[in-house]
Amino acid sequence: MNETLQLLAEGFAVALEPWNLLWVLIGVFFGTLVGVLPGLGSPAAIALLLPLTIQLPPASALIMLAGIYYGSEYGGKTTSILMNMPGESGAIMTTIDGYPMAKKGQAGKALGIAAVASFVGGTVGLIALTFLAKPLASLAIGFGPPEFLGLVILGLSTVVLMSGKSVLKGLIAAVVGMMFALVGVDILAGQPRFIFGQSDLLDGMSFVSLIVGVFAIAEVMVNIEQRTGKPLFSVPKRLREYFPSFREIGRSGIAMGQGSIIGFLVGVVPGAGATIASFLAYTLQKKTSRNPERYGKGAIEGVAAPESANNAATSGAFIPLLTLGVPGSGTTAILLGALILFGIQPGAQLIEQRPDIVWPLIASMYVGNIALLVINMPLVPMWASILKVPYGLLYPIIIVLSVVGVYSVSNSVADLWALLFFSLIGYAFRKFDIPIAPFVLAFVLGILAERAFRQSMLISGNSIEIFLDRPIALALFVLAGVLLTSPVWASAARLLKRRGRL
Amino acid sequence: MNMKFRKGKLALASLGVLVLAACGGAAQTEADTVVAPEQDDSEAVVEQFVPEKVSIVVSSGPGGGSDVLARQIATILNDEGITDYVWPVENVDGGSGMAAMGYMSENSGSDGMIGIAPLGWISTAVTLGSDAPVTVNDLTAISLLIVEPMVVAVADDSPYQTLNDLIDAAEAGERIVQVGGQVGSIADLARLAFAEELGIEWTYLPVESGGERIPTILRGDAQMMFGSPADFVGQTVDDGGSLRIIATVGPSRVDLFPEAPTHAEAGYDIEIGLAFRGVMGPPEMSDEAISYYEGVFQALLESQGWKDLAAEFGYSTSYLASEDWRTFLQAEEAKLTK
Repeated sequence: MNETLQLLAEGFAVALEPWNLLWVLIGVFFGTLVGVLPGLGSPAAIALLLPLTIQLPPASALIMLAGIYYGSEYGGKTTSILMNMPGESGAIMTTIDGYPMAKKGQAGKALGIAAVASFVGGTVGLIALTFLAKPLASLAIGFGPPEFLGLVILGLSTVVLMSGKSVLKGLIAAVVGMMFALVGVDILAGQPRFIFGQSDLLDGMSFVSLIVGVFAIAEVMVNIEQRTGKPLFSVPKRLREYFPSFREIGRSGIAMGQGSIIGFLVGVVPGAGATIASFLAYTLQKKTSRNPERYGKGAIEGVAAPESANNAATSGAFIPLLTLGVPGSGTTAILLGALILFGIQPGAQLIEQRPDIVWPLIASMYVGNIALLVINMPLVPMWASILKVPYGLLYPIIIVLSVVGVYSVSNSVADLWALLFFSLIGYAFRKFDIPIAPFVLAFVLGILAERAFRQSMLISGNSIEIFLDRPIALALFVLAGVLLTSPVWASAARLLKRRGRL
Repeated sequence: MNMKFRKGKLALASLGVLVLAACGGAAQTEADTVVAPEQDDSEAVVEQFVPEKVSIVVSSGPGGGSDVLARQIATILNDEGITDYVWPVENVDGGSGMAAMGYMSENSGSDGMIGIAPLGWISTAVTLGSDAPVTVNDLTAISLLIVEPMVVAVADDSPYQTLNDLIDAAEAGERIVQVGGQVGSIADLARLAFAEELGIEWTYLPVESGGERIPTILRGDAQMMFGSPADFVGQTVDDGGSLRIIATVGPSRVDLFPEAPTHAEAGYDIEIGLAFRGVMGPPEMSDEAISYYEGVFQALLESQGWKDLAAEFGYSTSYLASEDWRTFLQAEEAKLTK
């Protein structure tokens, strides 16, 4: 503990050097911008800046690149709230309550609470990273395909809760999502599935095209169609309405606490990350709330929970990288590549062998989180006033940003066709009043579930007992079972109550 | 930016490239004249081809194998003065390499684009068969850079101390799981080669993300992994990690793990395919450009910067010029099709 504090203090000494401070600021600012732009994610941005950072000392370069990574999670929520368009996959859940808040004229409050929640999540995650990195490394190792399947099933079981009015429609959405997830090369057989001779589909359907299509463009299509003359949003007039009150922040305290812990733990698990973390945090928040019916209609806690989770997850994702030398997420894989380019061999002993790199990096993340809060708060009124832009102007801008964003990720025209395809799917879903979130959730998790199940079977030699023998896996399955059957329990309890009253 | 200035610098540096290319290149006899350039010699230089701008296409995302290699190459080329600026890398991932190959074939005739071609560029096309929109045969072969023999890793506390231990255990019916990339990857093909020759099967566990494969061994869900030497740098017991390298699967031992005997030394005389990375150009690349790039990569592989890097990362340098590289690719393709 004392030794850790000492190392952290030495890290701060480096991170607070004027030049490094500047790199943190550049990184987080750039990350925020990247997060705001749909499609363009932190992997692409880091790749773009990598060549420029080669000349810097490795610690400074990493400080900046990491800033882009967690900065983008801050930025991702902006378009989620304002335009129902997640800037990052970790910000999908933020649309569920954030966008309704914006429609009610509370865009500023939503953006404000998202910034505060991001700060809380990021900082809690960092404290855990600082003091628990070593013990949690064993969690990262211990989490194999059977445990991962448990986590994914837990995530999938939330579909029922996200379905809104009709569970049937929620399940339809989930099945369609899973169908699209199956497209591509099945790595366990080495053979392509459902690609219809199109080599562009070998790596599956583009996730970026999917979220930008079903959320942003489909939303624009519906709004244009419904143009009624009266404004869609009520724009706040007084400055006070631009920020959440202290009471509202206080009310979101539990949401932020739960979100931070879940987000961090899920972030540690390799391959899970901010997306699953925010799904689970939102679900837990809604489940434990005393009045769950408020969610989906603009509950401020519904923004706080996923936003704290996705930022805490980015801190957690550093644990496998720093303690095992293996990346826990797509973006940390790139940071690993960056380390190699700087001539640092990342390995199992990275944190011991290169304290001169690791601790300034961790310290800089504390600084970066504070900087992000400071940068983001004043930006809130500016972002919120985007809604004053006339729709005739705003919609073309959204469409252009979407198309450019999708194309910039992969330089692939095929992804633009996928964007068009998913826009139409999203439009049809809205027309039939089918919820979008279960569709996206199943797309992300469906393929992971299939893979984890088949990997588990390979490991165990086709024995189902592997799920019973491993305690973490078993616990997660039990939890998922409880969650899945919870509507049944609830109605049973209501029934009993009514009987009792009779 | 001041464009004129940059162009001037380019022309100057291209001269330097030519000198280097000539020194290290096929034209050994010209080396003398380069020392004291004459009037007619500089005329020859003017006629020589230098592309205006060059980008390196890779089929992996940032941080992936080909991406890291491409960036390392671009940096060394610049550091060694072979190029006058760091060639930018374009990530065109998707379609298991098909997207990058397709992108290159769209730029047919371009002399300013090269791609880092791994084994996957052949194997994906073989998997797709007649559905493959583009194959390596459509592209221009420039040069082979490295071949990658595999090494066999086990957990530190593994009861299997040698390749023989593993194979004997599998033969005795013990449960042996090998973790690796997707089915059909080079590690899986090596397993098949063993199975075919020895009649011994063990389980192959495909794990998509490279970062999750080593934890799979540490957790005990898999007993071993065939991987490229670079996969295990910093992960062995000697480096403070928890893995041991017990054998090499390839024609010769690798510098990074000289203690690990080859499979032939262990008594298994089996021909096993090699992973490799080479350089391809778009279709219809001009002959001048091909010879320019051949010179550049020959100079790269002879540079000290490259030698240091290769030693650290366990790259086995193996240069082949355009024609021979084409023959090599066709031979590998024939092996896979079989």
